[in-house]
Formats: sequence, structure tokens, C-alpha cells
Amino acid sequence: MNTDPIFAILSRAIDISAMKQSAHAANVANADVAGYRRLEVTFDGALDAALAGQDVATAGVQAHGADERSLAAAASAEQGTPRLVTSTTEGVRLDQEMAQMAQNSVRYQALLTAFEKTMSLLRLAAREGREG
Amino acid sequence: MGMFSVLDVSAAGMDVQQARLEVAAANLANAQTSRGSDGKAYEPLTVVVRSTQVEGNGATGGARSGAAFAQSVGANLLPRPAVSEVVPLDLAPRLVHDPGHPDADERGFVTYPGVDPVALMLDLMNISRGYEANLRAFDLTRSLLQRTLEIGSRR
Repeated sequence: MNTDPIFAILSRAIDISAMKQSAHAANVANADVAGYRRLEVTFDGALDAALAGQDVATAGVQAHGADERSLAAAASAEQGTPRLVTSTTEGVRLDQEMAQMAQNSVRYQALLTAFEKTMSLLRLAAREGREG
Repeated sequence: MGMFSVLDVSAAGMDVQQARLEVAAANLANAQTSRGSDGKAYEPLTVVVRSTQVEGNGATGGARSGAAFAQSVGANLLPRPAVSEVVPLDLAPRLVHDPGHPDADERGFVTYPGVDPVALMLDLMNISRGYEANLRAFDLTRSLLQRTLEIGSRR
């Protein structure tokens, strides 16, 4: 099993989640500022990348196994550049911001756990299955 | 390392709430003040908070990509709030008829600051809510950073 795409997806998702955390923190800090426009994380061209990834996947049916294929597609789906943009409307809703931040932090921790599990799997393999 | 400056932004948010709290407390405490040491009536104050957010960023759809984000966070470009000035609130003074008062004017009226205690209490609630939200954000960021540092240290 090639684990490179897994690491690529995970670290990318962790990056995005970290970006979201900073956006939420900035929004909460600036909630009282008149005329403040909240920061958001968007994915310009994420859909294009996902579609392109599908094409790659279809083309690669003969060459690769199913798992490799879907991983490659997922990896390219994550290639859409995450961007920090300022919203066009003014004002921050503190409760919503807090809820989204809580959600995002759980996601972040889940991603970290997945990252660690993948690493421990590799470690296990490196030790030829011996524990310790 | 970009995430660390996020802590600064939350700290700036807490600073601002602290300043608002001080001013609101001063207004409340001076609600019954008829005259300051300068002989004038106490003027209720308010805090003007401004952000470092760049104007027109949203209108032009100004976006920063992942790489640019790392740069901007590194360069402390996340918008952070700051107290820009403390200005007197333009409130009509409260006149109380009390001819025996040493600060009463020729018609027997004493001038008190026109602060509304109910509005001030509401302000205080808002302030503490804002402070708590910033503290929570700070805590979350810190614990996420902490967990990130633990990558690979567990078996």
C-alpha cells in the first residue's frame, strides 16, 4: 500500500483546518468592530480539481487497483487552493462563530488522530510487526 | 509557524474587552458624580475599537491562497482589533432638582452624567461574553497546537 497520498490528503486537510481556526479566532476577536467583515476559507477551483481527478481516475483504471485510484482522485480533489477571503457582508455572529470553531477543532483533532494512526501503522510495518 | 500569531489575535480581542470593561465600570461608578475635580460634570466615555482589516478587501474579492496565507499569518496580517480612542459619549445630562446641593445651579438643578444603568449592565454582559469567547478561542488554539506538537510522540 502506498501511503504517500494518505499523508498528502491528511496534511492538506490539517492545513485547511488550521486556516479555519485562525479565521474563526480573528472573527471572534473582531466581533465588536464596526464594519468588520468576517474571514472565510473557500476553495476556489476545488470542483474543477475534483473533476480533473475523476478523469485521471477513469484513465487509470487499467493501470492501478481500485484503492490507488480513489486515493489519487481524492488527492487531486484536495488540490483546490484554500483561500482566506473577506466576506462581502458586515458583522459577526458570535454564537455561530463559536459553534463553527468547536466543530472545526473536533475535525482537526480527528485528522491528527488519523495522521498518527497512519504513522503507527508504518511504524508497525518497519518493526516487522513486533510490538514495543 | 503561523498558528502562534492566532493566539496574539485572541489576546488582542481580550485586551479590547478589558478596555471596554474599564470604561463601562468608570461610567457606572460615576453615575452619581455631580462634578469632577476640574469642576465640570463627569462625561460618560466610550471606547472606539478599530480593526487592522484592510478596507476594500472584501469588495474586490481580495483572496489569499494557502501559501499567501502562511505568509500573511506570519507577517501578522490577520485582522486584529485595537482600541483606537476613548471619546466622550454625547449624552444629554440628567438634571435633578436639589436646591440644597452645593453643586446646584442658580435654578437649583444638579447636573449628573446621563448614563443609563440598564444599558450599562447590558454592555457589561456583552463585554463578558466577548471576553469569554476570546478566551475560549485562545484555549482551543492552544490545545490544537499542543496536540500538533505531540504528533509522533505516541506509540
